Amino acid sequence: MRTDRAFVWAGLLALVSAGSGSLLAAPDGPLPVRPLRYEIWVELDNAQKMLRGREEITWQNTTRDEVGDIWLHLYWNAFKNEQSAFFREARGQTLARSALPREGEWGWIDISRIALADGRDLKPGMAFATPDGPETEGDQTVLRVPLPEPVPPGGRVALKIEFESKIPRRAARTAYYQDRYFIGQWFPKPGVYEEGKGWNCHAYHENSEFFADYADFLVHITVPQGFVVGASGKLVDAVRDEDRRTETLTYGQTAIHDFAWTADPSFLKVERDFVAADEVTEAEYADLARRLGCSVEDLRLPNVRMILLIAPEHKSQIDRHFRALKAALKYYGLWYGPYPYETITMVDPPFRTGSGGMEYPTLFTAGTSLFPTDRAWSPEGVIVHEFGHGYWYGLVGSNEFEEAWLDEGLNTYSTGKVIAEAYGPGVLSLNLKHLPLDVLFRMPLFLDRELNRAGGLAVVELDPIVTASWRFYSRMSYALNVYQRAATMLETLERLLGEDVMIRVLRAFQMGYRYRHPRSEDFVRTAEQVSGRDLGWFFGQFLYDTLEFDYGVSALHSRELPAADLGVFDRDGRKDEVTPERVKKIKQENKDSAKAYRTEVAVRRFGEAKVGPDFPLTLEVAFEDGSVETRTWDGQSRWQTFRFIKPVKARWARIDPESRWLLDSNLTNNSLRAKPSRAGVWRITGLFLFWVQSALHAAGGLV
Amino acid sequence: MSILRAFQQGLATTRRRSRLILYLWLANLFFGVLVLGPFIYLAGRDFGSSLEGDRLLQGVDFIWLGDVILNQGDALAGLAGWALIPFSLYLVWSIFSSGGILGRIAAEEEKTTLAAFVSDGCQYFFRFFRVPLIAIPVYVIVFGLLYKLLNLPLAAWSRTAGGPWGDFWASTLGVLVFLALFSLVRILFDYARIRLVVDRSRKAFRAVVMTFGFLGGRLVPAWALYLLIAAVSVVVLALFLLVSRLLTGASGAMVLVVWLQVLAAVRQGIRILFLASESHYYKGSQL
Ligand SMILES: [Zn+2]
Repeated sequence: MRTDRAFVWAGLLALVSAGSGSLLAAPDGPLPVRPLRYEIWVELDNAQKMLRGREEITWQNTTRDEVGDIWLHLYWNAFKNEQSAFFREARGQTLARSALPREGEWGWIDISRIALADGRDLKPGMAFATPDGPETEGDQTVLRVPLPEPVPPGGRVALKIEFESKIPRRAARTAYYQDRYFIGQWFPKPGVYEEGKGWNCHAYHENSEFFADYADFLVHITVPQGFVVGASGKLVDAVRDEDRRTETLTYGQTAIHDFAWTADPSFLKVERDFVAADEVTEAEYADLARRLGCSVEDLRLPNVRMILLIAPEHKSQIDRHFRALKAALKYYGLWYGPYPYETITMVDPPFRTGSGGMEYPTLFTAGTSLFPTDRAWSPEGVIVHEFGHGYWYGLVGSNEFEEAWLDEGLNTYSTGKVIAEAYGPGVLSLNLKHLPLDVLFRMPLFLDRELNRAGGLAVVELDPIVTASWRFYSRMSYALNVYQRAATMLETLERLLGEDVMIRVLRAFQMGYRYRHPRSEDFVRTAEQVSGRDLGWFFGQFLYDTLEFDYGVSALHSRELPAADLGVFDRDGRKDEVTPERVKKIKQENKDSAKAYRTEVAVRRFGEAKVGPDFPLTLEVAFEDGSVETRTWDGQSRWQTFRFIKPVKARWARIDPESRWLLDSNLTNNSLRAKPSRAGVWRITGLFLFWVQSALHAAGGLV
Repeated sequence: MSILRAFQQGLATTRRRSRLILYLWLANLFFGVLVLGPFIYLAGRDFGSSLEGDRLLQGVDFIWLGDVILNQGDALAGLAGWALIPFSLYLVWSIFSSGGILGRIAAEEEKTTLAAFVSDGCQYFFRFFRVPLIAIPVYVIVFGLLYKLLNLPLAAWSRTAGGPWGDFWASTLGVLVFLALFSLVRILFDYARIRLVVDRSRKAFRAVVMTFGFLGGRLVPAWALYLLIAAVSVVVLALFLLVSRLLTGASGAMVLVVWLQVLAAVRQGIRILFLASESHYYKGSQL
């Protein structure tokens, strides 16, 4: 079947007015504003490792500004030479010179022609720009193109571009190896025009992902025959040219903000359907509707076509991949809102393209190994995570350059929830050069949130979570802050607000900002509105600041009350002195009556950060008769003492007994025993001791 | 001499000299405690008085481990520095104990007393001390040069691998090549030490050179003997570890600690078994 271009566009536009259900893919639900429309023709030159393409872009000015230029991302120039911001930052952080591309392996993109639809040439005026400051001088990933006349509010401009690109051999997210390709960030792409502020169009940074406007895409990909292709959106046409031995595949999708594709002759292509009625029971709908205070109809999930492209070596893991994707479709859908697109394409990354674990609208890459450990939840974790970006990045189009936590933090938190719900705790896996060693050892079981806390809290004092991606102290600080620390913050918020309220917050944020570009403040506002609580103190300290949070119990003593107090007392008009002998005597006389103990507990705030005024801390004190006393502390001062008079001594005291404050950097000091108990210490010492003995034994074997 | 017979005689000698296992295990334990001393103190201080200490009974988890990483990072770094001292001392002990073990294996009389072991250790210490010094250039040549050379075709193959299996086999073969070379170096220096004891020689360098001659004609059986014992020990080790996987929870905690110490002792027995079997093979082949 051959489809005329105009016909395809007509179909696409019909969908815009009619909703979904037709040949071309448009999302369910109310249609968003989309300032962009792309039609791209691209051909893969397998021999030269080149792409040759042309592109028609229509950009609509949806602001009240007059816009005199257009800024384009030319992302692949990040891999062009060592002067790119990408390689400069990588060299400064992690990359050894030996890891730079070798001869012929650099990548780049050239614009050979850029003109308005009426033919006026824009090439003479175009120039590279460095909007991220002088430290990115020499970078060629941002191109500024002045327009002959400004685009008025509501006006449109149509550009015709021809480009030629060299595919990088080894680079971030995109690469080729032999005749396997993953192609992302590949076409000239306008930034996001922000009213009153101008073009938001950052360089390709080492630590940063992307930001783009919503668009309708129609992309014609020409590859040599025999390649198996996967792409964003829905396949709407496939035409073979027997003379040139090529095949042209056309993909269309409305309301997405990026488009990626992959081609590899060895891929197995498997398609299955997510059938909501098979995956979600009526009882599950009803239970969630009750918890969220909405109707079951609001929650109903649509069916989705799932497409898997997988290496034949991983054939035995096909079911494992689909099971994880179904779990993701189910829980993201139920909790945060239905997945609105018709298709989702899951790509087992082409061998040695380094493209695993990356998200694109309606397409993502997973990543597995030959011998995945049972219960290690890999590849499950990466599948759930990258699918989840379809929500946090894909549908809610936050700015990954400037506020990466809005996609990575929300999504790391969400991933942990889905994995815990669908799979439970996972084990750590241990491999030596592909050999699974974990069959021999009992590896620790853990939930994502535990690992997130251990990593995330290590960088609290380095940077606020809200920091531009390329301005973090280090790559480590970037990664741990925006992924793990942000997820730990959200996990704590969930424990403070309750799980149901937290789901409502995220659902309101997802549904309220679909196809839009919210900022951190929008998230804070949504959380406050939905929960009905003032959370400024929370986000102020944990999102925008670098304060350590640590409360603890610092002292616990129980002392028997003396039978009488020593000293001189005025009794019946005369001085009566109580001596130690008198006390002993009184004690002797009352020896049958019950003893009394005074227990004193001191709690402290070790960190700078404080709990909010409406969120006091709970103190639990357990006594030897089994009773437990509970007190609250507002936690505003540096310390507080609590006193109890009881007939028995205290056994232990514990602050925050429900462990709501996962952000607490020291949970060990949250409790104190009256008498130490070392059984656990001996157990773990015994274990570590064995490993130290093993290391000694191995070292001894060398001499 | 047949390698099976050497192995059997080695087993018998190990049984006869089983008291050596006690000495070796105790020393191994002692140095282990020395390395972990500061850790035991810190863990006792922090977790002993905390309810979180109960988590330690369940094994490793990322809540308490997270606390250790977050709050004892500097202490852990200091601990690593401190560990260098007991580790260095343990190397000296290993040289000493090799003399003790080989001396007792070679001794005709039945006694396996601490005094005899120490006296053997002292007697052979200085010539054994020279063996690892000679070994350093051998390690450099074998792993810095030979291993890299042998790996070149594997690396070239791996670079052009068409998929994960090619990658897997290239790296697995690389591991095998490494293990093969490592076992050959071990055999060389094991027999050099045996020669120093059995032939009552004092010249370590000469012993190493002569061992080349000895192994020249018997490399295959000597290597086979080594690999046989290595295979047996890998199986024993794996069985121990698989059983230890079953010991879980608070109830299994102390059993696990004891079980791992049994394994630590068995490992010392295997060390004696290697040297004893090789000694018998050496003597058997000299006749
Ligand atoms: Zn992510």
